[in-house]
Amino acid sequence: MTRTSTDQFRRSFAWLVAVLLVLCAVFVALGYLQGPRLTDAQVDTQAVTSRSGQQLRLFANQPVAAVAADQITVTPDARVSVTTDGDVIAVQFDQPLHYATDYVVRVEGVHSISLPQTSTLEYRFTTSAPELFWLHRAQGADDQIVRTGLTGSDTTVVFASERIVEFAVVGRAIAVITVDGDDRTALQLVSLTDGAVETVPLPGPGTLSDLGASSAAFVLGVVFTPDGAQDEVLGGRQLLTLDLSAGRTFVPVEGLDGAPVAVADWRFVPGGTLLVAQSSEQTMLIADAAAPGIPTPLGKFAELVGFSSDGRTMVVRDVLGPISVNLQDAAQARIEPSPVQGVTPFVGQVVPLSDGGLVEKAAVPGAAGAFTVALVVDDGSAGRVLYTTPDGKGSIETFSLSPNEQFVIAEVVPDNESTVSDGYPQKPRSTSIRTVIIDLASGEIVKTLEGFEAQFAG
Amino acid sequence: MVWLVVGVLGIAALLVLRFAVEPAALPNRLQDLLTLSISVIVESLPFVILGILLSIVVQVWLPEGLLMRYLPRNPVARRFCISLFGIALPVCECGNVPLARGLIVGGFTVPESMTFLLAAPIINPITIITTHQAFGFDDGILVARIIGGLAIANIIGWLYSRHARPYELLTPKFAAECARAEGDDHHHSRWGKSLDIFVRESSAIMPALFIGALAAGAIQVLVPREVLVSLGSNPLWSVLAMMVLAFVIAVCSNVDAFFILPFASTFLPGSIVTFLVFGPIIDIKMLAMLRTTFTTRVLIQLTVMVGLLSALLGLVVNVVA
Repeated sequence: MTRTSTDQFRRSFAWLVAVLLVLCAVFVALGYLQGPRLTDAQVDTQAVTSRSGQQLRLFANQPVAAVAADQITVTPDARVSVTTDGDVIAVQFDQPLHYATDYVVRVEGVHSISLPQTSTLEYRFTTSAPELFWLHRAQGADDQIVRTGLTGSDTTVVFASERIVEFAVVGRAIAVITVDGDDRTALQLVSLTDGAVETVPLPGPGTLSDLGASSAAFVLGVVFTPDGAQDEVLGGRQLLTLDLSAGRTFVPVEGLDGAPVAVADWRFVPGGTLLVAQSSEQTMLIADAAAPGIPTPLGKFAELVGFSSDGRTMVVRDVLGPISVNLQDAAQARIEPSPVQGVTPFVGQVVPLSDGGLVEKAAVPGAAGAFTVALVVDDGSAGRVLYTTPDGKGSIETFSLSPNEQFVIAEVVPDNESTVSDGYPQKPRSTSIRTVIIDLASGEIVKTLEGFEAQFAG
Repeated sequence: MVWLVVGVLGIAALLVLRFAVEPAALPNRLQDLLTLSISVIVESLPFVILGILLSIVVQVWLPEGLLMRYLPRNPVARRFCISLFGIALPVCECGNVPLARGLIVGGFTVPESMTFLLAAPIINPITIITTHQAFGFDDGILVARIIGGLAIANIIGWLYSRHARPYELLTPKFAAECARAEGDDHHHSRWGKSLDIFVRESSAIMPALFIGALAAGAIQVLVPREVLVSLGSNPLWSVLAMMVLAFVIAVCSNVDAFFILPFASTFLPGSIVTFLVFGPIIDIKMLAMLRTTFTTRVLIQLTVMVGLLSALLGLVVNVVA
């Protein structure tokens, strides 16, 4: 009996070992026949529409051999570069992606570092839809900052006040300059999360103007003109920065001499905390709002026009016309607009595109031989009219691009003959001003807003 | 008692050597050996003592037959319930050895005690929490570890339940202790018995821990880790390499997930699971400690069986995860 039972254990042990060996062999074979698989992926569907260089990180179930960019296809098409580290394939988008769009990223021919079996990794994601904010100056009622989406007609008033001069979206808040009955300006912060309003104490009695916000940090910039400084250079216009994550202390931007600089104009460079200020001597100074110090001069120019969305190129103007300045190496090149319908246009505002093209506000040949102001997309060889006001009666005041260059945001006055100014002490605008959102690729107007200062967020 | 003194003196000597002697005076390899060995001891000692105390509670202080009373009569269900005991015991594998010995003395069968011993270090709450912190639910590593650990423990419990003479699985010395305990119940007070068990278990376990820690330290010093890492992406070799690594490193199951986390980007997930399942059951320190209780033949059988089951688990995870 005992021997039989002991044999039973031995037989069970032997059978179990045999079965396990067979199963192990089967799964080893399956393992050798299988290429790498995708186990996880990470992408910030919001950041990927607003900044270049964002990554889709694909996690394989094993370390993989280096992947080349030509193994990757993105639908709809997007330029990418790629790095591989262990089991992570990082697909970097060289340009921001389109809003609210389904993307498919396929990586073909992926194999592990030790086995030749290949596989295709595929990941699908949908980019986030943006939020649009704009300023609506009501006649006889409070002004409003309104939020809406790119599609649909739903709107939300996020802030209302007697007179709103300008505003800027900064993180999940908006900074607003308002004017009271005595024409005194105030800076208010409005939380987009809970609507809480905070009034930021000013550095002294004076006036605020030219508000701007970094697109990458919780930092504001604003021009402060102290009372009683009319006799100073440019009326004493100081550029102040305010790091909202560090407190409520304004920091003046310094000039080359280390003293606060008087500025004629200024802008944040898209995608960071760098800013360019034009001094009273027309010198363009580049400074970092996150690291105050002596700025770097970029040369003297008559006007600061703007930046490309990727923050690599600045456009300035001298008496002969627009000039692009590469902010990496300070190289300058005069902008020569391409002909529109065979005629070289006169260009005003110019914004460079990251693919080397331009969007221009230009005077182009009209129907009866007259010239009409239009928005033109210049691909380097020819200009294409993107937008003109209805019947050519109106004017295009200014325009900008969405952070991903998918849309042009144009402020227009539909009819110049009937326009009436709202009479604001700062930034007066026509009471009939509109903002049109135009698809850069198709020229289609996707949205029209009753107001101005439209800004994309998210 | 003699072994207890030897064990304590050995640990003390290691600590004195490590901290009293100027590090620069020792060769690098010896410094590494001391550091690695002491780290294993320091990491394990609290759990060993906790395990001995729990063993005393089971043997002396719990009402006789309390645990038995609530367990199912069906052997398979009974072993499964026993394999879940570890959920309530935050003790790693070292502490479970004295506790498993206590269960045998307290009336559990050898396969039942073995089932507990193999499952408990994997499903104890600290191990589950640290594994989750390290890996979350990525690649099914946590789930595979828990389910795999329970499955391996119950399969081996079932296997040894088919043995006709389970006491032959035990070392003669421990079998004698069990027999003595059965006939010696009423000769001492509870406190006296507790002290007696503490001294006896410490004498058995401490030297094993001491020797096992030294062996683990020595092998880590002598075997280059790069050799193991270079095998990480091969479906078979990665699993085998992780078993060897687990055997050599002998890291406590409560923290092994953090130890292996840096390897997760270079090794296949299945091999990580193999490390996390094989290591708590079979490593050089555990074999030294298990040798206080089981015969060499049983330890070889256990090593083969746990090795195959862990490897299969890892290979399956590699294919399906």
